[in-house]
Amino acid sequence: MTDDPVLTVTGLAKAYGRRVACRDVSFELWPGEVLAVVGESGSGKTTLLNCLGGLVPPDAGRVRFRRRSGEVIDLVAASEALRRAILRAEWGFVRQNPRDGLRFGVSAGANVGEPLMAIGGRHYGHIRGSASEWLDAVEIDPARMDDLPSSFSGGMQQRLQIARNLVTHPAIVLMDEPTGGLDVSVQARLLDLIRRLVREAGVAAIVVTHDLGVARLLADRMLVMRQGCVVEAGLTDQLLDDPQHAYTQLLVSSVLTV
Amino acid sequence: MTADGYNFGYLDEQTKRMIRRAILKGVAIPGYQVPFGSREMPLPYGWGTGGIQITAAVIGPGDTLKVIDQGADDTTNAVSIRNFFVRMCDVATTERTAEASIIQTRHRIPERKLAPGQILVYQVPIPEPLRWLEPRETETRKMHALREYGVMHVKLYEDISVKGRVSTAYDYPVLVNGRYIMRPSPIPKFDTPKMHRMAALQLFGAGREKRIYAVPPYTDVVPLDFEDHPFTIETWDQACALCGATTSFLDEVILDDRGRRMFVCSDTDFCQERREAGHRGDGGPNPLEEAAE
Amino acid sequence: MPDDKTVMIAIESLAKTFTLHLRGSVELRVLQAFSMQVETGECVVLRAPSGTGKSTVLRSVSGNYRIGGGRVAVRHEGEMVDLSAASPRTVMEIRRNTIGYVSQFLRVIPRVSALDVVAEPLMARGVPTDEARERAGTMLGRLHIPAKMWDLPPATFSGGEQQRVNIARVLAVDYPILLLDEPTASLDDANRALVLDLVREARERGAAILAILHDEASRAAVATRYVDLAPLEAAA
Repeated sequence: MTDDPVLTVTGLAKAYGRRVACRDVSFELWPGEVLAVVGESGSGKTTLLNCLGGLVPPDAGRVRFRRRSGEVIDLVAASEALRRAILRAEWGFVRQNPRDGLRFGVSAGANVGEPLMAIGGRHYGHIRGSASEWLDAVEIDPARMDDLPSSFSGGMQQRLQIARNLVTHPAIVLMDEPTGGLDVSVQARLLDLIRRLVREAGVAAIVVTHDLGVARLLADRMLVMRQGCVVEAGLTDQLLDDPQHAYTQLLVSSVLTV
Repeated sequence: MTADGYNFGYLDEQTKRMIRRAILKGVAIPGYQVPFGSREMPLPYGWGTGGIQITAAVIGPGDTLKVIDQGADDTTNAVSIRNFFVRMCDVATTERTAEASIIQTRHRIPERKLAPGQILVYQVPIPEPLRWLEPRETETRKMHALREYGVMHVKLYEDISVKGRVSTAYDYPVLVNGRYIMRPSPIPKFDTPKMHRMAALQLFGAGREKRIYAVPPYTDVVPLDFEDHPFTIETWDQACALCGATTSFLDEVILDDRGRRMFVCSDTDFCQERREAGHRGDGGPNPLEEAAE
Repeated sequence: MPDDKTVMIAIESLAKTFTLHLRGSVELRVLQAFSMQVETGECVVLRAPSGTGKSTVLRSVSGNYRIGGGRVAVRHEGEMVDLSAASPRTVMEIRRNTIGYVSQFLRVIPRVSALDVVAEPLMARGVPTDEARERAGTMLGRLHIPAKMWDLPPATFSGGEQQRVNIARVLAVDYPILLLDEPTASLDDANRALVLDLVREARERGAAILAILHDEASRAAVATRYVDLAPLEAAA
């Protein structure tokens, strides 16, 4: 592990017309680290993720990513070709809605194999072998690899997305509300799985969630966002147990405890 | 003489220049789909309007034209297009592949190896190979530009995992000059290898979709496949019932309602030449001979 | 026990005030000008009436609370590191390699077995999975958690069992610094003795221990020194 961050975001901003979605967001992310971005709906956390993931062009700011080769690239300033190539080969993006993150017209195996083919995999047997291993890793029976994702439950679809996004061994995985809309028991299983896989793969992750419990369980560090700004940042347990900002205190005090 | 009131080749000279510019651009960037201002032609879309416009733009008084449809010179579509150019250009026509300087084709490549200087014009219904997985034209253009072609193999993968083999039998996607993925128009995959380093110039016209693309002579055209599932072409147990050829693409011809059938060369000129050279097939009843009796 | 004592925890004029923004920004002063040190091989027990900030001291040293004022430094890989100035990453590294913190309650993780809960800090330090699980099993065994429970998630355990898993998780690793917040609170006499034995062993191998212990007998069993926290008047 090196002391250099894998990602350095500075001054990221995005507005939709006159509505500011993200303002001056800066943070660093180190290899193997999980960063949670929390805040209520409309706080700008999903816009932040979409800017990082190349879905939305930011208005300002820099997103400097350290590639496997050691080269540091500002993804905002890079050509679209380079940006898309890097995002494809070295990043993953688990979308909130599996319909955005999966291809529903092809089998589960094809969904997991596609990123490998996208980076040049041309051996059917190897691609299928990897897909089978990753389905197993996300606790989907490899015997179902030729089934369509639409025949899977919501939790399975999310796990399939995770397999699809980890199969290329990315350096960074973005996750947008990965447990949103799932039953509590399914959530627990998914969280445990994400926690384990992220650690085993040594991948750095940015997890957007409105659920502080998810943040507590998954994240080393946390950003608290409100009205497009980061109001507080720090170690997850520190922010949750000793929140300084009024908004963080409000969030923490609003959590239902069992 | 050309028909009164019509310009040579039906299209006006400005239009021909526009199409030629598109062709030149296509030749310069092999496999790249060049948009062009496709004109209304005196026949419906799907009947070869793209191919006709290309032919009209490149044909000259000294050319000899051959038109085939599914390999045959004598089908309605081929006859109509050939007659169209006779009326509009008064050019010589032929059914002989070797004698033609321009061959307009629908769904086949002649069996005879084409020579330098010849032009093969394909009629293309759908030019975009990425369409089945990405309906947005803006996105497919970007995918071509950035060479994001991984998804093409997803279709092959899906074929193999679901059907045990690649089931695409015609219009098989190819990589042109190591750069652009291209639909070769609905030719059988049997013909796909003929495109590779072909001596003739290959031009593709899609009239409804307003796209022209090209493969210059001696350009690499490689079908997509997997290392462990290599591209293969169709084979037949039979030889051609008429000429005995074993290496050509065969059509199954149903002879009557008692189930009698025979297999004959799809390329009528190829078959004819072989018979003239004395080759004979032995399989199946031969309606030509029956008719002669 | 090492002969040359080394300062492992240095607290100077620590202050901590909580500002409750949701209650009209009322300020709750918990600590003021609190200083102390802990050296290797020491087990210092904090004494004070409940609600006087004993846990706050431990949480400040563990990095769970931000340093309100003053200075808290811990020896991490030979160097004294000022926690108020340390980056979150440094604090994470200190927690991984230097400080073991036994909180009052085990924060259970859904679906993770007791054995893996205990093995986790070892694995985070790079101990191979098999060895980490073996050491975790040994520690659970010493704390009388029967092997048939190891594969179950601790969420289903009793309070005393959960607390022993919590202790095993920290004591399975030979941290140079241990922070113990009521480790024996919910244990019966037999299990309390087991835990105190382990704490004594840790002290004897040279760990610097800062503990909050509720009952007099436990304190007497492990403490080498006491520090008394004077209560502050509650500020309005």
